[in-house]
Amino acid sequence: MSSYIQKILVACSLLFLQSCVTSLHRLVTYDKAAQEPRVTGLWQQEEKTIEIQPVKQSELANEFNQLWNGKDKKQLSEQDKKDSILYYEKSYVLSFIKSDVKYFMLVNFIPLNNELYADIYPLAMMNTDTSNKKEINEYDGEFGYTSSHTFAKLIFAGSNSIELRFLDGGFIAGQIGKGRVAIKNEKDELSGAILITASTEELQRFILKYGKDERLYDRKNSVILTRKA
Amino acid sequence: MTKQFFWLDNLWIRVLQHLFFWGLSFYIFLQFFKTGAKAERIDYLYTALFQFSLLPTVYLNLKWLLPGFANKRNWLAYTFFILILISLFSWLNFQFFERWSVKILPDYFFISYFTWRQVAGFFIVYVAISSLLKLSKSWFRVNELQRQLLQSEKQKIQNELKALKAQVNPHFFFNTLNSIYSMALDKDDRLPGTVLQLSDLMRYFLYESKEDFVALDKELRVLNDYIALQKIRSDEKLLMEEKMEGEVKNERIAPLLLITFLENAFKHGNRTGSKMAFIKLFIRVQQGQLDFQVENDKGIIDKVETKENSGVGLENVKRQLELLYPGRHQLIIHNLADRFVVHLQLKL
Repeated sequence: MSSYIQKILVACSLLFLQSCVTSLHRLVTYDKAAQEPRVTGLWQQEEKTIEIQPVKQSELANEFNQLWNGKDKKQLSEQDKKDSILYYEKSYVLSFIKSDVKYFMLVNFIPLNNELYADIYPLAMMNTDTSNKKEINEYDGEFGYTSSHTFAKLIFAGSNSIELRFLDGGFIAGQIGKGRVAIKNEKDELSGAILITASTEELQRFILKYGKDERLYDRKNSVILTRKA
Repeated sequence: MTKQFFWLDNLWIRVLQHLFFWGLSFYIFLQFFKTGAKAERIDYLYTALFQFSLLPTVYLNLKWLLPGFANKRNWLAYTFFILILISLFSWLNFQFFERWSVKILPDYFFISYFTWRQVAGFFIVYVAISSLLKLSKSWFRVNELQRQLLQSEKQKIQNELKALKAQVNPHFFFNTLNSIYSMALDKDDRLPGTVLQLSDLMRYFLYESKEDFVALDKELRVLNDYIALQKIRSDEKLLMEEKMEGEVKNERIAPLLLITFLENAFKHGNRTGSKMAFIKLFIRVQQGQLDFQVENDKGIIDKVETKENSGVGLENVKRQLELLYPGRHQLIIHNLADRFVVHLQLKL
């Protein structure tokens, strides 16, 4: 279990370079997922250019179409139908390039307590070096990474700026260590890394109850996205 | 309460029982609520708070609702109040974990793991378990009281039977001695033999009739001795018909039951004038059932017997039948103009 958790954490830190919460379960359910047109488009974050698009319009549209929309919907199980709605109809793909590698992440939005939250889930990495254009594969493929969910509150400053205020993994891990947070988790005793294993319903309840508690957010490492002209 | 059930009323044992129940409940909840591989401080706190919210419901039900309404069969009021109680405290539990703990315990982060309905489910389970435990204790208590009551009833019956037997024996001897008295007056040669037979009967009455039940064949032998005694006494003036059928081995009967009827027949038989007295005796034992019938013609009752003592033997035997063969006997007495017929059926 410990190496499993470590791999998840490595994937998270690769993407955000910060202490983020890693969760085994997603925060968003198909019925509560929100479509959020305000987030689509090209965004600048420090030196990175980030693109957010609905799944249907993204580079991965074909793959998603095959995975979640290509099947005969009448033959889908109830759960697959729900997943199809969530992943194909209500999901967004966030992509950016860093060190010649293009990262793709699946983003879902959910309004809780009159605030908008993002559930970010790594999807794939692709080598952008034209001389060696080879798909690196999904995170849990070649590198043995298993993807995990991480959560952020979205704060809009007009239509041209979004602050992604991530749940502070360090604070929450510290509070869990002190025995002050009752949320299901698995702890790697060797590294101290913590994977939240609470169910989606419990995660939503936790956010509903403590979503406005600023202690839970890592404000110093908030990601500010500025819309590119 | 007897020593066996002392734990029902001992205060310390009851306290220990409650502590054990809540301790076990706490352990199970802790395993259920713990957030990681091992229980942390928050898990103990969460479990304690969750369990604490159950206490008012459980104890108000045990101390107020069950004795106040359920015990009095007022189910409507009980259902109403228990639903109010469960709804109220499960709502408080839910609200505390879902909302109020933010302000009451700001340094701790926890949520209600359940919906209000699910919390109410826990409350219902705890009310049911604690009520059943209470009922099981009541069952032990009732059982013990029943046992004591039965014992006391049995003792009462034994005492009553002893008293009845004590009345039967003198009654029989009283009549027999009257007969011997008559024989002595007549200077009958058979008197010594008669006295000897009486002595055998006395042995039976004094020693063996103290048992609750005796072998049926022994009781029938005594009947025969008694008949022989009475035959000698009545001389040629008695027409006696006896018929016994069936297998009596291994069957048992309460002592002195049958002889009382026979004694009655002889006592009331016609012994005066030239007319022959008759007594017909029929006994059959078949498939664990005894059919006993004795029929006699009516005569003049012993003058020695006072009016107060008249019928004492029959009343005694009726009471003995009620006590020893409840629902297992049928006694029919036909008091006709010229005859007296007693028919007794007994399930042995």
